Formats: sequence, structure tokens, C-alpha cells
Amino acid sequence: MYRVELAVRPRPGVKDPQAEAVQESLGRLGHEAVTVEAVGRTLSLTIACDTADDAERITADLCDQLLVNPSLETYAISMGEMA
Amino acid sequence: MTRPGAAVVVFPGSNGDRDLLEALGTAGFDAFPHPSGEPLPEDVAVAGLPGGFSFGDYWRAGMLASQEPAVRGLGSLVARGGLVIGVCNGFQILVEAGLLPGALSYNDPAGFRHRWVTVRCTVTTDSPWFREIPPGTVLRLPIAHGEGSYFHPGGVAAIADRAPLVYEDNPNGSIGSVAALLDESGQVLGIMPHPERASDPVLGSGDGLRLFQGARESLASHVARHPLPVTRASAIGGAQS
Repeated sequence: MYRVELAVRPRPGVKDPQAEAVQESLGRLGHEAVTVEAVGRTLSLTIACDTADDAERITADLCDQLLVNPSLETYAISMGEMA
Repeated sequence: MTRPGAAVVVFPGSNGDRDLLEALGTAGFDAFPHPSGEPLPEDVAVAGLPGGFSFGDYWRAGMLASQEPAVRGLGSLVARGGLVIGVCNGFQILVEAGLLPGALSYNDPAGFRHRWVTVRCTVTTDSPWFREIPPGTVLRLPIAHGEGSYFHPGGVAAIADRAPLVYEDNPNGSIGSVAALLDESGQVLGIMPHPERASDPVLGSGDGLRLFQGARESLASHVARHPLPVTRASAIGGAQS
């Protein structure tokens, strides 16, 4: 059994109006040193499988089939075996 | 003549289904609501995907709705010669389902936009939806969306000949000011403004009704050549005027 954290974010170079809006609000609070690089989403999963390779392959399939729009988005996976 | 059947697919979170039923009924369709969780009836001529917030727009607008049985049957409907229109959230669903290319994302600048806009017809793909709307025509339609910015990784050149309507004053950052998109066949239309909410002058504009009337006229001539299967024998209910 593996726990997977999937992070989806706008593909670099794609317009990210949410990040711009958050940036503006943080600027109003005085956080001039902070740059908002992107606004994305995360999905926490548990996957019943035997190996990390299986967990990664299954997660990649989910992304390809539904969870990520490759025109706009890219993703990163972090995972660990559950005790 | 028998009125062609038009199924308006109702998703959890749809809020424009009654408007779409009314417009399709006014244009001469036997329009009826159809739950998204059930396969489309085989004898409908048109499927309409209404505006709203299907499945709460969770994760990505239109994504969850794109996997519903009624949506997965749209390809078969098109192969049978049927027509599909997706309005606003319906447009997002068609893109997520892969029936139209590219993606729709957050408005640029960010924010929900709701106002009247004018769009210019630039149709070059032969389409039943634009039978009554020649190129150069300007339509007045309302918009109401937060995620209507159209994007295609190939740029506007990749879809220019399939963009039948462009905004005169781009409200959302869409590439090429694209307001609507057709598939290669011209049978599938995704449109971000709401033609169904501009289907009677008393609403502020009757321009949107011309899309539905064009589809109705096109099917009338199609039915004359091919009596089956694009007619619906009996009304199942739904709004008609």
C-alpha cells in the first residue's frame, strides 16, 4: 500500500491568473519579497499495490486519463510506502 | 412535421438547463431534460449540454461531467448525424471529453464576468448551427463565466478555421478572442456566451435563437432525405413555448 501526493500546476509559460490575483493580495499585505510562482491543486491518494513503480505507473495513468489537462498543466508525484 | 428530439443533459449542478430547454422548444425541437447518469436515447437528433457548475466544478470545470454516460455517448450521436451544443459549462465539458480540442481555463484577468457582449461570426467550417448566420454577422449575447479563457497549445492558427464566433472585445483572455469552437464535422459546437439566454427580444436580444433555428432547419432538410433515426416520435416533456 502506497500513499501518493499528486501536485498539479499550470505548465510553465501558461498564463496563471489565479497566481496573479494572489500575488496582488499578498502585495497589499506588505509581502513585497514574496513571488507567487503558481497556483495549483493537490490530491492525496492511497493505492493498493506492491511496488513504488506500480504506484507511480497507476498515478501516471490517472493523470493521463483524467486528472491533468496536458495543454495547460503539468504534475509531480511524491509517494511513500505505508506502514 | 414531427419535431426532432433534443435531449438537454442535466448534470448535478447544472443551472442553465431550463433556459436551453426553452430556446430549443422555441426553435421547434421536442426538447426534454435527460439525466447525465443515463445513456442518451438513440433517437434524439440533438444533445444540449447546459451552463452551470456541473459537479461543483470540482478539480477542473467539466472534468467530472465528461465521464458521465450521457456524455460518453455523444460521439455515437455525432456519428449518426446528430448535433451537439455545449454552452458555457457545456463547452468546458465538451473540451474535457475530447470532443473539442484545447482547454478552457480561468479568465484573464481573473474574475467572474457577466455582461452582454457582441461576437462576430467568422465561420468557415460548414455547420448546421450557423446555417442562418452568415460570416460577418454580429450577435449580441450574454456571458456569465469565470473559466472561459480558451487556450490551444498550437496557438490560434491551430483552430482558426473552426472558430465560428470571436469576441469584439475579448472579456476573458481567450487566444484569438475565440468565443466558440466547432469540431471538424461542424456538428459539435461549444460556445462560451449564452445563446439560449438571448432567444427572445424581451430578454434583451433574440440573436441566440438563430443558432437553434439553423440547427432545426438543417435537420428538417436532413430528415427529408433520411427519415430515421433523427426524429423523436413522442414528447417526453420538458419546456416548450
